[in-house]
Amino acid sequence: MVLIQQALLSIAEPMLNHVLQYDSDASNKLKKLNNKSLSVELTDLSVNLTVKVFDNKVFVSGQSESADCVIKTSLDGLQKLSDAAQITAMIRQGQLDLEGDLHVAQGFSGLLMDNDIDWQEWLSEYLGDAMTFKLSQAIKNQRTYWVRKKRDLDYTAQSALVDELRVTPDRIEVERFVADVDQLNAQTERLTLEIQKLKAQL
Amino acid sequence: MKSEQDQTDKTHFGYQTIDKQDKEKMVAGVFHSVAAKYDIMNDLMSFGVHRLWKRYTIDASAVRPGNKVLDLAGGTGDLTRKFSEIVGEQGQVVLADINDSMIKVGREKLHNQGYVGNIEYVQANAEALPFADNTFDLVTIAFGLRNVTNKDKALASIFRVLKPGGRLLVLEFSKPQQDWLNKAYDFYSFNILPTMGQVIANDKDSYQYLSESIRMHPDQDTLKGMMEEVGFEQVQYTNLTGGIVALHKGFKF
Repeated sequence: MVLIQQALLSIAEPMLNHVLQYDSDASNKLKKLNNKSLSVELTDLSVNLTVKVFDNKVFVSGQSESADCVIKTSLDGLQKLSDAAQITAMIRQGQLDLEGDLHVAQGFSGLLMDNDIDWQEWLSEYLGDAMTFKLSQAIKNQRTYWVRKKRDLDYTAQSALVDELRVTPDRIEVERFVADVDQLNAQTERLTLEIQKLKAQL
Repeated sequence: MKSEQDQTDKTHFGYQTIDKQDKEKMVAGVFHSVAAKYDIMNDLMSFGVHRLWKRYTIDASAVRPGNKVLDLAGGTGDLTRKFSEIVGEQGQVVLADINDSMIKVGREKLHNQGYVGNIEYVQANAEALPFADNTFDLVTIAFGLRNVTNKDKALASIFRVLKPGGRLLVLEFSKPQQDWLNKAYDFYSFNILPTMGQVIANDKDSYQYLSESIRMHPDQDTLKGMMEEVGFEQVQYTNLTGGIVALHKGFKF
């Protein structure tokens, strides 16, 4: 396991440094994080990962020794960290355990997940401009196609379940039901208060 | 806990028992012979896994910018290169090796790769390190300790040059923990390895010595005891590839 992790890290580290060259703001972010380290413990996978920045370069390690900030979360939680603003909310919700400097976590989140990497520029180095343009267009078209396809499928499934099979209620029915429940809840609370008042008078 | 070898005038050179005074020259002969093909042989013999063992060692070092590192028996500079990147301009890495052929190969390789400025090259015997007390934040010795004649003396010398709070990492071949692995490893070491040495480096004897020296090296717990004996604290080891290699870590406080 140790060596598999090392093998993955030995691929990830140079790749990460290479890709960051295509983020126009990476240099500023790296400067702010110089000599800082963030350790992430993925609780569901029992994996430790430490990211350090020294001299404008990112180093990835499997050890969590003496990190400036330690985060314990699940893989799902890690994905949510792409938005640095979510960190505080996740701590409140108990989805993330953070020890150390919160600003370091936010800095790394900004560097690694909220970046503006010019993928086309990067790809063109290997494929050439023409091929990169074609590939980008193809990916864009495919993305549009699948977004539309998903919307169509959602609509078809919704129609089948609500109108034809009638196994789930319509959105308006659900909203009415929720409103009715809220009204009933309010009435019940009022009644409870009145009963308590009457009990107190007796 | 002094090993029997360290208390007599005799020592091992592979499976041979020789006078202590001869070992240094004989080991030097082996490494003069293999220096030129050392890297390619390492890759072939370990199927490239030695890079992961070394990467794990760097991971375990927790080295930081500004640190002073001694890469003992640094050979062709695999660890030095990475340490040089991490310690930066404020730090320093000393690549020390007893064998000048290995240092020449290492220095040329690192220079060609652009690693200059914070690396020093020193020809030194691990048993009598030419550095002041409390000099280094970290000392590593990767695949070198088994070639040292008096290991206790070398460990004591390393202890002396480490700063209080500094750590020693010993990456070395060790004893496989599973019986089947031990047998497979024996077969590989004594049948395939020397043949590879013959075909690729035209040097069967050196690679025969390599296999034998690995078997004569103290196992995980013995080495741990030796480190504790000279004063290292919190000594622990991690088996890698089933114990074929072990990384020992100890601190000077």
